[in-house]
Amino acid sequence: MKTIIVDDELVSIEILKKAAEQVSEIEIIGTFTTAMHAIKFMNKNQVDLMFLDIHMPDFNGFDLVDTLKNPPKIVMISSDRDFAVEAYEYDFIVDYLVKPIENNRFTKTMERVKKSNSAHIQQDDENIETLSKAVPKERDRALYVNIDRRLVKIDIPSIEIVEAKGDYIKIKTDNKSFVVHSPLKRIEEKLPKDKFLKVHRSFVINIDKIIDIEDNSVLIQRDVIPVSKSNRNELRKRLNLL
Amino acid sequence: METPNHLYVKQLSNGDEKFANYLVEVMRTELTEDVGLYKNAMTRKDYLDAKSHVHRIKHKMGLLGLEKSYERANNFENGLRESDLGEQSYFESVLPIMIEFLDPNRKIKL
Repeated sequence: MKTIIVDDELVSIEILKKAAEQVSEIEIIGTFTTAMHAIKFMNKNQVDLMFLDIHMPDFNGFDLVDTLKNPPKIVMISSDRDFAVEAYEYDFIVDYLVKPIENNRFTKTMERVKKSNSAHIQQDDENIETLSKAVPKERDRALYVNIDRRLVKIDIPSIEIVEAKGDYIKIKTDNKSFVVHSPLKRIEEKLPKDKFLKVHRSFVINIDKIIDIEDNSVLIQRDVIPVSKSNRNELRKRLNLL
Repeated sequence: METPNHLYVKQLSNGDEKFANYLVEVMRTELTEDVGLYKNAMTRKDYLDAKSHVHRIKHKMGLLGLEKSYERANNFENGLRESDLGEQSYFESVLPIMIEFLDPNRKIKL
Protein backbone atom coordinates (compact mmCIF):
# COMPACT_ATOMS: atom_id res chain seq x y z
CA MET A 1 0.00 0.00 0.00
CA LYS A 2 1.41 3.33 -1.04
CA THR A 3 1.11 5.36 2.15
CA ILE A 4 1.56 8.98 3.21
CA ILE A 5 1.69 10.60 6.64
CA VAL A 6 0.30 14.10 7.22
CA ASP A 7 1.05 15.63 10.61
CA ASP A 8 2.38 19.03 11.62
CA GLU A 9 4.59 17.44 14.32
CA LEU A 10 7.79 15.83 13.07
CA VAL A 11 7.99 13.67 16.17
CA SER A 12 4.62 12.10 15.28
CA ILE A 13 5.77 11.47 11.73
CA GLU A 14 8.90 9.69 13.00
CA ILE A 15 6.84 7.56 15.40
CA LEU A 16 4.45 6.52 12.64
CA LYS A 17 7.29 5.80 10.23
CA LYS A 18 8.88 3.55 12.84
CA ALA A 19 5.62 1.72 13.52
CA ALA A 20 4.98 1.32 9.79
CA GLU A 21 8.42 -0.27 9.31
CA GLN A 22 7.06 -3.39 11.02
CA VAL A 23 4.31 -3.80 8.41
CA SER A 24 5.52 -5.27 5.13
CA GLU A 25 2.45 -4.12 3.17
CA ILE A 26 3.15 -0.45 3.87
CA GLU A 27 5.39 1.61 1.63
CA ILE A 28 5.81 5.17 2.89
CA ILE A 29 5.99 7.34 -0.22
CA GLY A 30 5.70 10.75 1.42
CA THR A 31 5.45 12.64 4.70
CA PHE A 32 4.01 16.15 4.98
CA THR A 33 3.70 18.72 7.76
CA THR A 34 0.91 20.68 6.02
CA ALA A 35 -2.33 19.60 4.40
CA MET A 36 -1.66 21.74 1.34
CA HIS A 37 1.58 19.93 0.54
CA ALA A 38 -0.21 16.59 0.91
CA ILE A 39 -2.99 17.68 -1.48
CA LYS A 40 -0.46 18.75 -4.10
CA PHE A 41 1.26 15.38 -3.80
CA MET A 42 -2.00 13.44 -4.04
CA ASN A 43 -2.99 15.33 -7.18
CA LYS A 44 -0.01 13.78 -8.92
CA ASN A 45 0.50 10.44 -7.18
CA GLN A 46 -1.58 7.41 -6.33
CA VAL A 47 -2.03 7.01 -2.57
CA ASP A 48 -3.72 3.94 -1.03
CA LEU A 49 -3.51 4.86 2.64
CA MET A 50 -3.08 8.12 4.54
CA PHE A 51 -2.32 8.69 8.22
CA LEU A 52 -3.84 12.09 8.87
CA ASP A 53 -3.56 14.33 11.91
CA ILE A 54 -6.71 16.31 12.72
CA HIS A 55 -5.11 19.26 14.51
CA MET A 56 -3.05 21.19 12.01
CA PRO A 57 -2.81 24.95 11.66
CA ASP A 58 -4.84 26.73 8.95
CA PHE A 59 -6.14 23.66 7.14
CA ASN A 60 -6.99 20.78 9.46
CA GLY A 61 -7.47 17.07 8.79
CA PHE A 62 -11.22 17.28 8.15
CA ASP A 63 -10.71 20.22 5.78
CA LEU A 64 -8.29 18.06 3.83
CA VAL A 65 -10.71 15.11 3.79
CA ASP A 66 -13.47 17.35 2.41
CA THR A 67 -11.33 18.43 -0.53
CA LEU A 68 -10.57 14.89 -1.76
CA LYS A 69 -12.54 13.65 -4.75
CA ASN A 70 -11.21 10.08 -4.57
CA PRO A 71 -10.00 9.68 -1.01
CA PRO A 72 -7.69 6.80 -0.09
CA LYS A 73 -8.22 4.76 3.06
CA ILE A 74 -7.58 7.14 5.93
CA VAL A 75 -6.49 6.61 9.53
CA MET A 76 -7.17 9.75 11.54
CA ILE A 77 -4.81 10.68 14.35
CA SER A 78 -5.31 13.07 17.23
CA SER A 79 -4.34 13.74 20.81
CA ASP A 80 -8.06 14.09 21.57
CA ARG A 81 -10.81 11.51 21.54
CA ASP A 82 -13.43 14.17 20.84
CA PHE A 83 -13.46 13.78 17.07
CA ALA A 84 -13.76 9.99 16.90
CA VAL A 85 -17.50 9.99 16.24
CA GLU A 86 -17.16 12.52 13.44
CA ALA A 87 -14.33 10.57 11.87
CA TYR A 88 -16.39 7.39 11.61
CA GLU A 89 -19.09 9.18 9.63
CA TYR A 90 -16.79 9.00 6.62
CA ASP A 91 -16.83 5.60 4.90
CA PHE A 92 -13.18 5.77 3.93
CA ILE A 93 -11.89 6.55 7.45
CA VAL A 94 -11.02 3.11 8.73
CA ASP A 95 -9.64 3.93 12.16
CA TYR A 96 -8.97 6.67 14.68
CA LEU A 97 -5.69 6.59 16.58
CA VAL A 98 -5.15 8.57 19.76
CA LYS A 99 -1.64 9.90 20.43
CA PRO A 100 0.75 8.79 21.82
CA ILE A 101 0.43 5.82 19.50
CA GLU A 102 1.10 2.44 21.08
CA ASN A 103 2.65 -0.40 19.06
CA ASN A 104 -0.17 -2.83 19.93
CA ARG A 105 -2.84 -0.34 18.93
CA PHE A 106 -1.06 0.34 15.67
CA THR A 107 -1.10 -3.40 14.89
CA LYS A 108 -4.90 -3.41 15.38
CA THR A 109 -5.19 -0.43 13.07
CA MET A 110 -3.33 -2.27 10.36
CA GLU A 111 -5.64 -5.28 10.76
CA ARG A 112 -8.59 -2.93 10.23
CA VAL A 113 -6.95 -1.40 7.16
CA LYS A 114 -6.35 -4.85 5.64
CA LYS A 115 -9.88 -5.94 6.50
CA SER A 116 -11.37 -2.81 4.95
CA ASN A 117 -9.37 -3.44 1.78
CA SER A 118 -10.71 -6.96 1.41
CA ALA A 119 -14.26 -5.81 2.21
CA HIS A 120 -13.93 -3.13 -0.41
CA ILE A 121 -12.83 -5.64 -3.05
CA GLN A 122 -15.71 -7.95 -2.19
CA GLN A 123 -18.17 -5.07 -2.44
CA ASP A 124 -16.88 -4.16 -5.88
CA ASP A 125 -17.28 -7.77 -7.03
CA GLU A 126 -20.85 -7.99 -5.90
CA ASN A 127 -21.67 -4.56 -7.25
CA ILE A 128 -23.75 -3.63 -4.24
CA GLU A 129 -22.50 -0.13 -3.75
CA THR A 130 -25.81 1.34 -4.98
CA LEU A 131 -27.44 -0.09 -1.86
CA SER A 132 -25.53 2.29 0.37
CA LYS A 133 -26.60 5.20 -1.82
CA ALA A 134 -30.26 4.33 -1.27
CA VAL A 135 -29.98 4.57 2.50
CA PRO A 136 -29.63 8.14 3.83
CA LYS A 137 -26.45 8.40 5.83
CA GLU A 138 -26.06 10.31 9.07
CA ARG A 139 -23.42 12.52 7.48
CA ASP A 140 -25.98 13.73 4.92
CA ARG A 141 -28.02 15.15 7.80
CA ALA A 142 -25.18 17.12 9.31
CA LEU A 143 -22.67 19.71 8.29
CA TYR A 144 -19.43 20.46 10.11
CA VAL A 145 -18.20 24.01 10.11
CA ASN A 146 -14.85 25.34 11.24
CA ILE A 147 -15.31 27.93 13.98
CA ASP A 148 -12.27 29.06 15.97
CA ARG A 149 -10.44 25.90 14.85
CA ARG A 150 -13.21 23.67 16.18
CA LEU A 151 -15.45 21.61 13.95
CA VAL A 152 -18.99 22.35 15.03
CA LYS A 153 -21.82 20.08 13.96
CA ILE A 154 -24.94 21.69 12.48
CA ASP A 155 -28.04 19.61 11.87
CA ILE A 156 -28.95 20.39 8.24
CA PRO A 157 -32.76 20.24 8.65
CA SER A 158 -32.47 22.86 11.41
CA ILE A 159 -30.92 25.42 9.05
CA GLU A 160 -33.36 28.20 8.16
CA ILE A 161 -31.30 30.76 6.26
CA VAL A 162 -27.74 31.14 5.03
CA GLU A 163 -26.73 34.71 4.33
CA ALA A 164 -23.56 35.87 2.57
CA LYS A 165 -21.70 38.61 4.44
CA GLY A 166 -18.53 39.50 2.57
CA ASP A 167 -16.01 36.67 2.99
CA TYR A 168 -18.27 35.09 5.62
CA ILE A 169 -21.64 33.41 5.77
CA LYS A 170 -24.16 33.56 8.57
CA ILE A 171 -25.94 30.26 9.13
CA LYS A 172 -29.17 30.71 11.03
CA THR A 173 -30.72 27.59 12.54
CA ASP A 174 -33.85 27.03 14.67
CA ASN A 175 -32.01 28.01 17.83
CA LYS A 176 -28.61 29.47 17.00
CA SER A 177 -26.58 31.45 14.48
CA PHE A 178 -23.06 30.67 13.26
CA VAL A 179 -20.66 32.93 11.39
CA VAL A 180 -18.27 30.94 9.20
CA HIS A 181 -15.48 31.96 6.84
CA SER A 182 -16.77 30.55 3.54
CA PRO A 183 -18.28 31.67 0.24
CA LEU A 184 -22.04 31.13 -0.11
CA LYS A 185 -21.49 28.86 -3.12
CA ARG A 186 -19.54 26.34 -1.05
CA ILE A 187 -22.32 25.72 1.46
CA GLU A 188 -24.94 25.84 -1.29
CA GLU A 189 -23.21 22.84 -2.89
CA LYS A 190 -23.26 20.94 0.41
CA LEU A 191 -26.96 21.41 1.15
CA PRO A 192 -29.61 19.07 -0.30
CA LYS A 193 -30.98 20.65 -3.47
CA ASP A 194 -34.54 19.47 -2.90
CA LYS A 195 -34.74 21.39 0.40
CA PHE A 196 -32.62 24.47 -0.12
CA LEU A 197 -32.83 27.17 -2.76
CA LYS A 198 -30.80 30.25 -3.51
CA VAL A 199 -33.47 32.95 -3.75
CA HIS A 200 -31.12 35.93 -3.91
CA ARG A 201 -27.42 36.36 -4.56
CA SER A 202 -26.90 36.71 -0.79
CA PHE A 203 -29.45 34.21 0.52
CA VAL A 204 -30.01 30.46 0.50
CA ILE A 205 -33.17 29.37 2.31
CA ASN A 206 -34.69 26.16 3.59
CA ILE A 207 -37.97 25.87 1.68
CA ASP A 208 -39.61 23.90 4.50
CA LYS A 209 -39.15 26.87 6.83
CA ILE A 210 -41.10 29.40 4.75
CA ILE A 211 -44.06 30.86 6.59
CA ASP A 212 -45.43 33.03 3.81
CA ILE A 213 -44.50 34.53 0.49
CA GLU A 214 -45.08 37.87 -1.08
CA ASP A 215 -44.21 38.77 -4.62
CA ASN A 216 -40.58 39.59 -3.97
CA SER A 217 -39.90 38.25 -0.50
CA VAL A 218 -40.39 35.27 1.80
CA LEU A 219 -40.92 35.22 5.54
CA ILE A 220 -38.91 32.75 7.62
CA GLN A 221 -39.57 33.14 11.33
CA ARG A 222 -39.21 36.92 11.68
CA ASP A 223 -36.82 37.40 8.80
CA VAL A 224 -37.99 38.85 5.52
CA ILE A 225 -35.74 37.49 2.78
CA PRO A 226 -35.65 39.15 -0.65
CA VAL A 227 -36.36 36.98 -3.68
CA SER A 228 -34.70 37.99 -6.95
CA LYS A 229 -36.89 38.22 -10.01
CA SER A 230 -34.87 35.50 -11.72
CA ASN A 231 -35.50 33.06 -8.83
CA ARG A 232 -39.24 33.56 -8.36
CA ASN A 233 -40.36 30.95 -10.88
CA GLU A 234 -38.02 28.32 -9.43
CA LEU A 235 -39.33 29.05 -5.94
CA ARG A 236 -42.93 28.68 -7.08
CA LYS A 237 -42.11 25.38 -8.78
CA ARG A 238 -40.76 24.02 -5.54
CA LEU A 239 -43.86 24.84 -3.50
CA ASN A 240 -46.85 22.61 -3.07
CA LEU A 241 -49.37 25.10 -4.50
CA LEU A 242 -53.07 24.47 -4.28
CA MET B 1 5.33 17.50 40.45
CA GLU B 2 5.59 14.53 38.09
CA THR B 3 8.89 13.26 36.77
CA PRO B 4 9.29 12.63 33.04
CA ASN B 5 10.49 9.29 31.78
CA HIS B 6 11.55 7.56 28.57
CA LEU B 7 9.36 4.46 28.99
CA TYR B 8 7.27 5.21 25.92
CA VAL B 9 10.28 6.05 23.76
CA LYS B 10 12.03 2.84 24.85
CA GLN B 11 8.95 0.73 24.21
CA LEU B 12 8.40 2.27 20.79
CA SER B 13 12.05 1.93 19.80
CA ASN B 14 11.93 -1.82 20.33
CA GLY B 15 15.65 -2.06 21.12
CA ASP B 16 16.76 0.42 18.46
CA GLU B 17 18.94 2.75 20.56
CA LYS B 18 19.85 4.96 17.62
CA PHE B 19 16.18 5.58 16.87
CA ALA B 20 15.38 6.26 20.54
CA ASN B 21 18.02 8.99 20.72
CA TYR B 22 16.98 10.41 17.36
CA LEU B 23 13.37 10.63 18.52
CA VAL B 24 14.43 12.48 21.66
CA GLU B 25 16.47 14.88 19.53
CA VAL B 26 13.46 15.60 17.30
CA MET B 27 11.29 16.06 20.38
CA ARG B 28 13.79 18.50 21.91
CA THR B 29 14.02 20.60 18.74
CA GLU B 30 10.24 20.76 18.34
CA LEU B 31 9.58 21.42 22.02
CA THR B 32 12.00 24.36 22.04
CA GLU B 33 10.18 25.81 19.03
CA ASP B 34 6.73 25.11 20.50
CA VAL B 35 7.60 26.78 23.81
CA GLY B 36 8.98 29.86 22.02
CA LEU B 37 5.86 30.17 19.87
CA TYR B 38 3.60 29.58 22.88
CA LYS B 39 5.30 32.35 24.90
CA ASN B 40 5.11 34.70 21.97
CA ALA B 41 1.39 34.03 21.53
CA MET B 42 0.75 34.58 25.25
CA THR B 43 2.64 37.87 25.16
CA ARG B 44 0.37 38.96 22.30
CA LYS B 45 -2.63 37.61 24.23
CA ASP B 46 -3.48 35.61 21.13
CA TYR B 47 -4.99 32.75 23.09
CA LEU B 48 -6.25 30.82 20.07
CA ASP B 49 -2.73 30.73 18.67
CA ALA B 50 -1.39 29.78 22.12
CA LYS B 51 -3.95 26.97 22.24
CA SER B 52 -2.49 25.34 19.13
CA HIS B 53 1.00 25.34 20.68
CA VAL B 54 -0.35 23.97 23.97
CA HIS B 55 -1.86 21.16 21.93
CA ARG B 56 1.53 20.23 20.48
CA ILE B 57 3.30 20.51 23.85
CA LYS B 58 0.56 18.41 25.45
CA HIS B 59 1.36 15.58 23.04
CA LYS B 60 5.00 15.70 24.07
CA MET B 61 3.96 15.50 27.72
CA GLY B 62 2.23 12.26 26.80
CA LEU B 63 5.38 10.99 25.09
CA LEU B 64 7.36 11.71 28.25
CA GLY B 65 4.91 9.88 30.51
CA LEU B 66 3.63 13.06 32.19
CA GLU B 67 0.07 11.82 32.48
CA LYS B 68 -1.22 14.26 35.09
CA SER B 69 0.41 17.20 33.30
CA TYR B 70 -1.14 15.97 30.06
CA GLU B 71 -4.61 16.13 31.60
CA ARG B 72 -4.01 19.60 33.03
CA ALA B 73 -2.59 20.79 29.72
CA ASN B 74 -5.74 19.47 28.10
CA ASN B 75 -7.82 21.57 30.51
CA PHE B 76 -5.61 24.57 29.80
CA GLU B 77 -6.01 24.04 26.05
CA ASN B 78 -9.81 23.92 26.37
CA GLY B 79 -9.79 26.90 28.74
CA LEU B 80 -7.83 29.05 26.30
CA ARG B 81 -10.76 28.87 23.93
CA GLU B 82 -12.60 31.03 26.48
CA SER B 83 -9.47 33.01 27.49
CA ASP B 84 -9.42 31.07 30.77
CA LEU B 85 -5.83 31.17 32.13
CA GLY B 86 -6.50 29.14 35.28
CA GLU B 87 -4.00 26.40 34.37
CA GLN B 88 -1.33 28.70 32.95
CA SER B 89 1.06 28.71 35.89
CA TYR B 90 0.99 24.91 36.31
CA PHE B 91 1.48 24.40 32.58
CA GLU B 92 4.42 26.78 32.47
CA SER B 93 6.01 25.17 35.52
CA VAL B 94 6.24 21.84 33.65
CA LEU B 95 8.00 23.28 30.59
CA PRO B 96 11.50 23.74 32.11
CA ILE B 97 11.31 20.22 33.57
CA MET B 98 10.64 18.81 30.11
CA ILE B 99 13.40 20.85 28.49
CA GLU B 100 15.91 19.83 31.13
CA PHE B 101 14.94 16.18 30.79
CA LEU B 102 15.51 16.32 27.03
CA ASP B 103 19.08 17.56 27.59
CA PRO B 104 21.27 16.49 24.63
CA ASN B 105 23.87 15.05 27.02
CA ARG B 106 21.35 12.64 28.51
CA LYS B 107 21.57 9.70 26.09
CA ILE B 108 19.17 6.77 26.25
CA LYS B 109 20.77 3.39 26.81
CA LEU B 110 18.76 0.31 25.84
